[in-house]
Amino acid sequence: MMKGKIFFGVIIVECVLLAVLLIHGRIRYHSQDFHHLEAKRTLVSQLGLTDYAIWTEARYTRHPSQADFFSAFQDFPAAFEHFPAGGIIAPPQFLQGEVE
Amino acid sequence: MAYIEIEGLSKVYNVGRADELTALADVSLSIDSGEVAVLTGSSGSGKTSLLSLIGCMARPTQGKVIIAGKDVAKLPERFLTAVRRKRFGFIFQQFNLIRDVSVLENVLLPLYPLDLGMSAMKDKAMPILEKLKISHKKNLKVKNLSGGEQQRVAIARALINEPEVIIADEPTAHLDRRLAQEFLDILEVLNHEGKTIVIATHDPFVYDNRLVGKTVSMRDGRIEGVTIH
Amino acid sequence: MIKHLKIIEYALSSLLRRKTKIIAIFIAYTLTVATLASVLFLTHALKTEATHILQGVPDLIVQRILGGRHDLIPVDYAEKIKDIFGVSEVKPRYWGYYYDALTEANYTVMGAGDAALELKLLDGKLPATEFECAVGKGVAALRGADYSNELILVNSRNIGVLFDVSGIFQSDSSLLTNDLVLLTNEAVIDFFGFEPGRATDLAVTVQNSNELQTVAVKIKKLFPDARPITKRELTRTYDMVFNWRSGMMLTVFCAAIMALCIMAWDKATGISAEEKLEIGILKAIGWDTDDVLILKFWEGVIVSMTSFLTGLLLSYVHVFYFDAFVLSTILKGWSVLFPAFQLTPSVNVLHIFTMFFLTVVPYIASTVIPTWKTAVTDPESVMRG
Ligand SMILES: Nc1ncnc2c1ncn2[C@@H]1O[C@H](COP(=O)(O)OP(=O)(O)O)[C@@H](O)[C@H]1O
Ligand SMILES: [Mg+2]
Repeated sequence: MMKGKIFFGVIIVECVLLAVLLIHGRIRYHSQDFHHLEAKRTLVSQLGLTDYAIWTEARYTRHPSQADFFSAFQDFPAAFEHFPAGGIIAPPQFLQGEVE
Repeated sequence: MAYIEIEGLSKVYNVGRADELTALADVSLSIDSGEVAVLTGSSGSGKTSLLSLIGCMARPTQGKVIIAGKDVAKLPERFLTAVRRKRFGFIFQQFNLIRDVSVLENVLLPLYPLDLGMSAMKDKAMPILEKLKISHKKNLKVKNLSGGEQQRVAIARALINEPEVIIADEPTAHLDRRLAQEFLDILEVLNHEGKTIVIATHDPFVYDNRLVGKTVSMRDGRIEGVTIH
Repeated sequence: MIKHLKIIEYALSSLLRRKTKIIAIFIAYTLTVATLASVLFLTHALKTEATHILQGVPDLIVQRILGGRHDLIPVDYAEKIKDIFGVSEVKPRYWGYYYDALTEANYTVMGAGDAALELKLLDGKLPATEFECAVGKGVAALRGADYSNELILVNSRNIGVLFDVSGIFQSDSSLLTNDLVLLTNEAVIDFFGFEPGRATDLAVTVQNSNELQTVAVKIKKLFPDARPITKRELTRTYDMVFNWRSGMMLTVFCAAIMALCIMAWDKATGISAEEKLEIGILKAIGWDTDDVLILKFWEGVIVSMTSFLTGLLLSYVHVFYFDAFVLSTILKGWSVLFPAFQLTPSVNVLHIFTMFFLTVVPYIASTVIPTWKTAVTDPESVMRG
């Protein structure tokens, strides 16, 4: 049953590989937790940062949490926009009409 | 009592439609254990239809098919499969082998659904392949074999379940005289081992053979006459 | 058990016979899973990271709204806010955007306030004088500031101002600092020409986080033109930005599901004469309907499991070891300054299960179900070749 063995071999190898990656990820996560996450958190609190610097093309993409009520997204997420990023990120919570 | 007993059998295709066709009408026949029976008749006379009903490959519209004392015509599908597997080995006109798969795998195929280990299966297959003189080609793909070799693979596959009955539909249609003779030689050996053999053919080379115990001539879905040799 | 092993063996032979078709399906399937998984991994990692690091954001940001727009806020609002019970500190923040015509990129110019001069992820120091600046990796690279140690920006009076680069943020912090130009608060005011006594917004620290909401309400009452944004809203933003309803997820999921549907449709309609004959042969030589369905089930499992696992592996390596280089080109959009994602690996196991049920299960179903009809019919037709 050669083919069957190869198939199960492949599946097992892939599962093991995945497990190793996930475990390695966990380890990295916890080791980085100290140097980086902590340092980044300090950066945020020291400089008063509020947003990721991912999209710099417009105010509502650079600072989604700071965008005013008249920014894009006010109507609905799929609204046609000038910048693709606006189609990728969702409107901030306070524009989604969620009451808490 | 006969091993295969057929009573008032009819088969109608496309019932109730414009192209309704009666392939078999009120056929009765009996075949004894260890007998070599040949169905003859021109093309379209209903030989294949009768063979498939005997072999539990289809259900009759009316009538009884009694195999070893048991009417199988109305058995549920699961039991029909079991009867087919236990009692019949088929050799089809087109061989119906899986062309891109090796000889050995083709022969083992009927055993796959059984709880039998791979090595036990091979132990069963090898003597049969040797007897049919194709064991040296067991790892070749079927599509790379000649017509005669392909038929021997088909025979090996039909034998692997140790069936009591061999059913062959136009087995010599794609063979030359020499290969047809070889085929009949193989059948003779099998018959001596006690197997019942039912063949449909319109090849005189087959139905005139001394091996044949009973000739059933058919026409338009009816039996015209039965000759016992 | 042994029966299943044998049927798997035959399923594999059977698949190998249709090599080109199976390879095509495998590739399409793997890519679909890889795309789906990459998006999920990336957004999940961004989200997790955001919830961790945005713990440090101000408790409350108070903006001023004028004519429906964000406007500069008078700094003396701070005095009255400080008097609200529970508020321990109010700091004005000075920041704005700068379009650099030279590189056609937008920078975020920010006052460093009273932050500690040395920070862990900063090579060098924060600006101590009005003539110094600290910049993000992206700005530094774009302007060659890492070699020249100088940065010239044009201020609101259209005069070029030369800053010494006192520090450059390490790339590990790019997700936060890529486009930053940090100046002293005074330098920001002067650079943008803010009216005296005005700030961009106010950062409010509240002693007891339970009182945040009350404080926000009080501020709103005190200054009707103010808009308080709570820490909860800030941190939740990134939970929401990458949620299931966001455009990217929607698009990718639709595309992925569509791809799988097309595949399923093709399989459902395309049970070929050859396949039918094979099923007939198997039944004729003693296979049960169940056995045929088991065979098809395993065919489905083999194709979908290998593709699923391969796709998952590819996407994991792609996102966490190659910084999502394929996806980020899509995410980038028109951004000139785009940070490299060096993401902390974190995976939601639920996502993996969701993808499993969205991709593997329908595929297996679409392999088995179309066979049903052929498998239950009598094998008589094979007799006719
Ligand atoms: N599935 C079917 N549907 C309709 N007609 C059929 C079908 N199978 C066979 N027939 C018809 O039944 C008749 C008998 O056919 P068959 O048993 O194959 O005869 P033979 O094997 O003697 O040539 C033929 O006229 C054939 O066309
Ligand atoms: Mg015929």
